[in-house]
Amino acid sequence: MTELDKLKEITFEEGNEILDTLDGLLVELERNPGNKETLHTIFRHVHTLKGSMGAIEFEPLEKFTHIKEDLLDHLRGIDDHPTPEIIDALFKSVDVTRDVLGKLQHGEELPHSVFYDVEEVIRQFLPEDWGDNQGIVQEAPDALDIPLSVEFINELTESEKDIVKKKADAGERLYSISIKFDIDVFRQAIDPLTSLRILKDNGTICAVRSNSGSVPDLNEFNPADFYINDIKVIFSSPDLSRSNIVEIYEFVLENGEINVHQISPAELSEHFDVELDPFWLESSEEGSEYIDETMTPDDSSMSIEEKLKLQSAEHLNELKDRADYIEKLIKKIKKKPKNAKEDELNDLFRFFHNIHGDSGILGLTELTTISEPLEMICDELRSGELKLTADIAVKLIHGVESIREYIGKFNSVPDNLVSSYSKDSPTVDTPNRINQDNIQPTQGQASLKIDAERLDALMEMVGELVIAQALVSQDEAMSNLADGRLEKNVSQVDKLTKNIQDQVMSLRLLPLKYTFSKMSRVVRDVSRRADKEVRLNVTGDETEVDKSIIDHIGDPLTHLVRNCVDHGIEGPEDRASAGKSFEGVVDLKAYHQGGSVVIEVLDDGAGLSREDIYNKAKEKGLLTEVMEHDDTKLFNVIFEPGFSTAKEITEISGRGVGLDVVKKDIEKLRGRVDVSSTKGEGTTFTLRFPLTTASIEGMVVKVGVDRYIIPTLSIETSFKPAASDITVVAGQGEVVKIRDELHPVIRLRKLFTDNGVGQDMKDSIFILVEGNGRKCCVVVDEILGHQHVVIKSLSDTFSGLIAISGCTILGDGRVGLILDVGGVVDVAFN
Amino acid sequence: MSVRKKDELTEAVKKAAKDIEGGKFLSFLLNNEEYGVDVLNVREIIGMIDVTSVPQTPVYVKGVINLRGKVIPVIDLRLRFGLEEAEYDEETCIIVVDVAGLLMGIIIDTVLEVLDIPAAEIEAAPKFGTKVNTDYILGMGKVGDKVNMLLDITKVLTSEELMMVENIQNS
Repeated sequence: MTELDKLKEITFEEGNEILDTLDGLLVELERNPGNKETLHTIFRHVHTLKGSMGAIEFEPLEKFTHIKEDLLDHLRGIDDHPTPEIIDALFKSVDVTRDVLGKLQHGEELPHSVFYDVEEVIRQFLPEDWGDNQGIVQEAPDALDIPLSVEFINELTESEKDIVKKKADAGERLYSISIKFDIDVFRQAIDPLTSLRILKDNGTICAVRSNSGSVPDLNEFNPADFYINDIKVIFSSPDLSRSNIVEIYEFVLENGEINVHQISPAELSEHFDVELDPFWLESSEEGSEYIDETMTPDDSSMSIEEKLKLQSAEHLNELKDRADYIEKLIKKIKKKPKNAKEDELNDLFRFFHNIHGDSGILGLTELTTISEPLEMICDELRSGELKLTADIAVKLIHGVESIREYIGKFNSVPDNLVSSYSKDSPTVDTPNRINQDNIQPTQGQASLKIDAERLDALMEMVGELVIAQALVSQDEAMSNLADGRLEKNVSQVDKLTKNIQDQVMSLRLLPLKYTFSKMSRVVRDVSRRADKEVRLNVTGDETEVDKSIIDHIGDPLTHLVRNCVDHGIEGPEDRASAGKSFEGVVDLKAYHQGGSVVIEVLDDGAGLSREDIYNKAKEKGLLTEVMEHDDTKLFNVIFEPGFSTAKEITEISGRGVGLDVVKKDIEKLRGRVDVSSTKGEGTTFTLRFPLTTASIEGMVVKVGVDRYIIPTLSIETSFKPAASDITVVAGQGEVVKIRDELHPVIRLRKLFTDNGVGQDMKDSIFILVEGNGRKCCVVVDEILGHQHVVIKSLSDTFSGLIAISGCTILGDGRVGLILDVGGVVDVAFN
Repeated sequence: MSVRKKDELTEAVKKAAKDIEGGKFLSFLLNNEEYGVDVLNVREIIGMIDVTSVPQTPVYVKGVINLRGKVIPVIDLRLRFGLEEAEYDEETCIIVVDVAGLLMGIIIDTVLEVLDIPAAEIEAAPKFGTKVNTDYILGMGKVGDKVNMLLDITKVLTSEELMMVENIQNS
């Protein structure tokens, strides 16, 4: 796989994650169309989506996402709530995008017209003149333009005035800028210091003053607040125009106030003794880089680097959005190089210059390498040293393309993989005194995306390591050694190995967030088609489960949720007559319980019909004696193949297929599903999975010549019963009495080998195990010990095994089989 | 059989598998008859090792082995073909084959050599007269005056009946 392919792969994955999230958000928006917060969140996600779609070189997709973003942007800006039609269109656009992504991922060629239909629909919601602004720099928002105040000038030192003078003499444009930030600016994830850094990157900061008068007493001081309410800067730049600066400060406008004033020649001459002679060209390379140390509260708990990087990343993203415009501009200039305006050439230069600067901050050396030579070319272009030939234009356009692609890649760091970096990384020292030297490019990203295959390979190796380690520490020679030091060292290695294993295991854990947000869409769609009002409640979607579960739970969960809406929840009339609220509720819950993850799907519908199931089971010959008096047992018959009681075939849930597939899917994940139901109150499906599919603590037991592992979690106790405690029930097998309770007995020798006969009962050991909420006793020959074992799946050849859930490699390198306690219990009770 | 010979054969198989010309088969002995499998399916040849039996499986499924950390099922080919069971000895080998991405071991009497059998020398399997179900036979390869039964190992190891696990309902 090439780097680009990998990048694409990541982008596809991420795209789908975003789409899933969007589904959830749109459902939320539909419920509460007035919620601007949701709209903003949706916009942000679409924006991110647009950003990452660049990596997939399919232009219509990017264009389409862009239009979607426009629509959302428009919606954000107006007071009216989005109409159901608009939301429908958005839903549709998510579907189409997902569809197209899926096809592209599988390498299908698609016509550029795939989006035309939806695009048309979306466009009709946009104001007519909307398209006119596309690709053109957004007009700078209103910023103040107040002339220099005399007080400020009076505060300046002579040396600062000198610098201003030199810059003015060098023909640079001078500005007085004042910035006021809101007190909660830190909470907006904005670092006020960035405002100065940006200036520094684009010119020279001649002087800075700030008003720290509102810094409160130490006991009232809140490190998360920003108390410097007025920053005044005198800034000189060879090329930035006032509107350029205002544009840079766009981010301030949302969180404060900005005043940019170009110091006029008159003012310069009045306050700085600048002679108005444009031909006096003494160039000054040095500029004062001075920042008032009161800039940032001393004990600010946020790391400057981090905020700076965030800012730069955002800035980069904005720049990427400008890439289209730059590309057009290059093409335009190429056509008529002579007509190129100075401003346009400056725009080109600044684009690459900014990319260069931001990439430096973020430590993106690749990007720096791309942008640096282009910046130089543009510098020569605007100074007239170079003419824009076709060759150069191609070079520039290619540059823009790779920059766009690269930024797309950089931004493709999804939330769910923002791993433990933040808590585990060494704390960045917060400098007491902030000056320019502290602002250095910092290497590294907060998270990285790792190929699942690599992770699996790592897991496998760690598994091997654990086994190899066990081989060493359990070696006979070890126990005969009288060397305390070696023993200590080996046990140290033991501990480390276990830690490594735990860490690696945790790498595979992901939150159920995306899976659950997909479900809200399912509920919406199904309830609409079934003409029911249904609301989905989600709790515990932050619960982390093994990636393999995330990967495979989607289908069975969708099925269950659909079933709940379609069959579980009654129609509006029935609900009304049952005295229930009009709106049906489906609850989706996830939580950890012991060593398992539990996912529950509950509905408040009519519940399962005992009679219907009973009759159906009887008809299909699935009825067993136990079911007669045990409803739990009876209800679980609905997971049998071919069982369905739905009276009519519905469009969505079909008939007769499904729940058995759900059960199979879940069992493949070493999980199990149960159903319980109360008539008139609803139905609950409970899915249980092992927390990690990778390892367990187990008791190693001997049965005949083979060894089996019984998961420690399911063991209650082990004992040797007196012969009088064992009773043989005719035709039913044996039961054993423990603490006045009777439990069925399963002799593993008999279950697993055919020669249960001849086993000396006196020596065998009874182990009381619990599975599926019921207990039984398994009988083994001998207990060999406890071991932490890495679970390996038996190959598909053995997919139908009862009472065996997997295998592992034991200390001596041989394979041991892992007992499926639930399966054994099932055998015991059937 | 020496470990060295097995390793040498494994090497020969790997080399032969790279040969794009094709027509390379690893020949082995089963009940005194010569069989062959396409080297492209063969991963390696190992001596007989401890096999952990798996309950509820057909008799020819001997169980599973640990192949450097991978747990793979092992089939006794004699039993699979309904031949007489034999004691495992020094000569008994496990040929590790790759069937559609799945590794499996087949227990055979002994391995012989890597044969080069051009397509022209391969005849269709006779409809009868073999001890082995003809579905499993790719063709009859002629090597000198000997005939080698070339197995379609994929079919041998993936047919429906293999996947079936015996029902333990009666236990």
